[in-house]
Amino acid sequence: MIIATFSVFGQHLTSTRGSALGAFTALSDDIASIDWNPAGLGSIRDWDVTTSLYSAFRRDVSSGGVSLYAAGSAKRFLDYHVVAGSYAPGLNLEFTVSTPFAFDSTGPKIDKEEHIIYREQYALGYGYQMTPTVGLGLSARYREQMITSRQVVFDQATGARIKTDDNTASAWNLDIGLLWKPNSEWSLGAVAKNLFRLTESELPEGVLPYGLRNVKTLRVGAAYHPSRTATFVLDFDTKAMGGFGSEWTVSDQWALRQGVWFGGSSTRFIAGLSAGLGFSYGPAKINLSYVHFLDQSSRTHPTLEKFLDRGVQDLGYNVFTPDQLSLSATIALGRTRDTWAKIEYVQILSEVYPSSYQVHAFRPLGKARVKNVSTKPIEARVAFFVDQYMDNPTETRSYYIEPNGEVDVPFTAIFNEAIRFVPSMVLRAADVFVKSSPAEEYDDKSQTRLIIRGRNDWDGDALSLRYFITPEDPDILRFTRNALSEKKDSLAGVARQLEKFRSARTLFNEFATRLTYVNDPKVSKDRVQFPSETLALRGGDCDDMTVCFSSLLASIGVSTAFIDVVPLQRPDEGHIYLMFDTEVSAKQANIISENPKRYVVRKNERGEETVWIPVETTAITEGFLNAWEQGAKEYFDEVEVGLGLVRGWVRLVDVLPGR
Amino acid sequence: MRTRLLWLILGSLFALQLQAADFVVKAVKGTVEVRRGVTEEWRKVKIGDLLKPEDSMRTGAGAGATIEADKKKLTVPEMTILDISDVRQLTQEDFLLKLAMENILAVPPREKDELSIPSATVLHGTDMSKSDQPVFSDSKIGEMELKGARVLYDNAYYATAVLKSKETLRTHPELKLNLDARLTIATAFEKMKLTKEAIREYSVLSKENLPASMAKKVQMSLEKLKQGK
Repeated sequence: MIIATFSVFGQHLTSTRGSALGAFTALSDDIASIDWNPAGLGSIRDWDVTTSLYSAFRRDVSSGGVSLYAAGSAKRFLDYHVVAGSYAPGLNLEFTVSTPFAFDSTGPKIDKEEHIIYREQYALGYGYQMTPTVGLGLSARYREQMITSRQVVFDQATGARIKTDDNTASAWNLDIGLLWKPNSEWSLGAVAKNLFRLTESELPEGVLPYGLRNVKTLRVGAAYHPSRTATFVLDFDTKAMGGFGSEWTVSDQWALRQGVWFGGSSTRFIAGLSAGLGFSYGPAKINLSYVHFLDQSSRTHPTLEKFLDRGVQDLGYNVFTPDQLSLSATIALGRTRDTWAKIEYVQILSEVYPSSYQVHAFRPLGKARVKNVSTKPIEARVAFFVDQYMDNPTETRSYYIEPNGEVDVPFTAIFNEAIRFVPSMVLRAADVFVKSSPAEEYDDKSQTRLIIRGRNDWDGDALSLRYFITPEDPDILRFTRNALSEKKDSLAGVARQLEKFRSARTLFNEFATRLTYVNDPKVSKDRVQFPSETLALRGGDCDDMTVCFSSLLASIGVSTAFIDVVPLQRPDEGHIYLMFDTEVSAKQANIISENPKRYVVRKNERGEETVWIPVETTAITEGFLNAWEQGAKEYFDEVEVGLGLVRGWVRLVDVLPGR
Repeated sequence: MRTRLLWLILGSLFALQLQAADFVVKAVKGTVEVRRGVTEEWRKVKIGDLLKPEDSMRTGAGAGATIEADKKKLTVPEMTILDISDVRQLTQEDFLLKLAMENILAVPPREKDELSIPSATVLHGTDMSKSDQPVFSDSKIGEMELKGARVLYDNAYYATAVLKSKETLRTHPELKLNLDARLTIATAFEKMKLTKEAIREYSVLSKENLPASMAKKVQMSLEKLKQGK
């Protein structure tokens, strides 16, 4: 009888969590994925660092104590790629095959020995998350075999002597894995072990029977999560080995595990039982497991015949693997939690005009397409921030997104006062974040470019022109106060219903004496002066004059409306003028004019019809009556005859004084 | 200023394209006046005068006029005001949009996300809803405008006849009981095959205290329209 015994207990079951469960192919999500299923590396979010200790137990040999099994690290990059490496000094199997030799039956005996060492100390892995539900992985394990033969050699000179032959071999064994999580309940995994082999050196023919077996196998696994607290796993491979187990999450921090091992050349179907405990706190995880094999014969008394018959294929789990206790600690650094939501892209819907910056607090400035990259429904919110021009990020309401679903989330921006002093157009970086519940920080971040126009820039939309109106500006108030004070005597005798009309006329005539219309479209296009600037510069173009006169009227509580004309065939020839509300009832319109073509009757918010007067502000030098006549003629031609309002090429933009 | 003038000229040309050609005064009896564009004064017209679309024409008591354009001749009876721009056909779409003009023109309610334009009011307007001022509306002018609308109707300008009648009744509420004008509106709708609108007008009219002959006509029209619906 030739007995082969272990001299070192250097083997492990790679993942402490996996060894407690008995199956881990569809559940692998840490550095141990290098061995179990490299596709699981895709689950690593940023930096992962792990270390594990082990202690193997054999009934026939005293315990070797606790040893460092392995340490490894993994890092995600470019969003979807993960690389990992591990160093496993403990992944080391050693056998000694002793054959007693005697010169004669009464003489001394000499042991003929084969010392066999298998190591798999270095491993590299790569994981690629193809889609939120599908991951691929590749791992390469560096396998070394060292077989030392000691045998008695006879020669005539020295007689008998012991000769030692060292034989080594090494190779990279490549595994390819796949992980698919079709929904929140199921995970399916498959890994092809030893699919490729890159040989550096081979063992000589004579010691090949002692070498590692490089058999290609396919292992498939499934994990089922019927609830948040229970997980069931199953593994099975083409060598009829596998296991099944369950994990029970008993609290946010603690988990209990148990597993059943089968196959593996054991004489019984059930080869072993395992149990384990998991503890997690923030980014740290500690796992403990114990594996007990029911058939101890080959594990405690391995025979040479069995060794030569079965050999060793997997250093982690084989017929000689003894009972063992494992402890591992893992810490996830960097971004320490799962990403649930990703920003697919960000679209800025408009530039920012300082004159109307407040409007972005209500109307979307842009939108972000958010994707749920998790396997569960999420509630996502988007935040937006521009440094210097915003005091705090704005945040949207929550949007429900199905797994793998996408939603366009419009976002607003609350700018601070600094934006009003941007002298000319600038380009600023803007940050867009997405948070999803129950995430504590943001899931994803994207940076976009935001164009902030100068304070006088205008987007050409008459609607935006309203935001240049500043009736509370001290210069405007001073102008109206002075103008009306100077004419207070003539205004005093005016019938009450004509007060607004006469005040407007007085202001316009005063406006006409002080300001000049400047027609310089090249300079003024897309640029609007604030009313105080128009007063200071004593003139402006059509937009500037309209805005300024509208502000003056607004400062005395007169409602105005821009008449924005953009001829369909000639949009470049668009122009703008205004009309104001005299608040004279339509029934009394004849006190304004006997010619209905000189005014417009409009219903106000209270349903009362009042008389509005169109005024062409560019005709300023010709006085109020001419400006009125010209405005009325334009309005009649464009709206009444040309049907511009009903056909959409004339638009009224109301500027209502604050209530 | 040059661009401005150019624009005005182009605008006028564009507007002219949308309407009938200028009218020429062919016959005049009594006091016939014209008000040019947006001016205030009425001036007498004589045979051969040209009437532009932006002009209005007025005939006095016992007066009358005949105007012509593109072989289309209109006879304007006494005490009538006729806007030349109304002497044109409108597409049904333009007509319906113009009909809704009152709403289009109305000051819209403030949007919830609209920013308030602050105002420091120096002078406040009088609350006219509480005003005790007398109503100055010249009902005679209103009646003359309604007659002008009738001229349009008689010459098959149904769309502008409805628009002018409705506008006049709106701006001269004291003429609300002018049943002839309302009947003109209803029949114009009927002529334009706008059955729903015609039924609505006839139905409202049928509830008024109508003369027997008008009541019979309204009832017959209503039944006919409802049957054909």
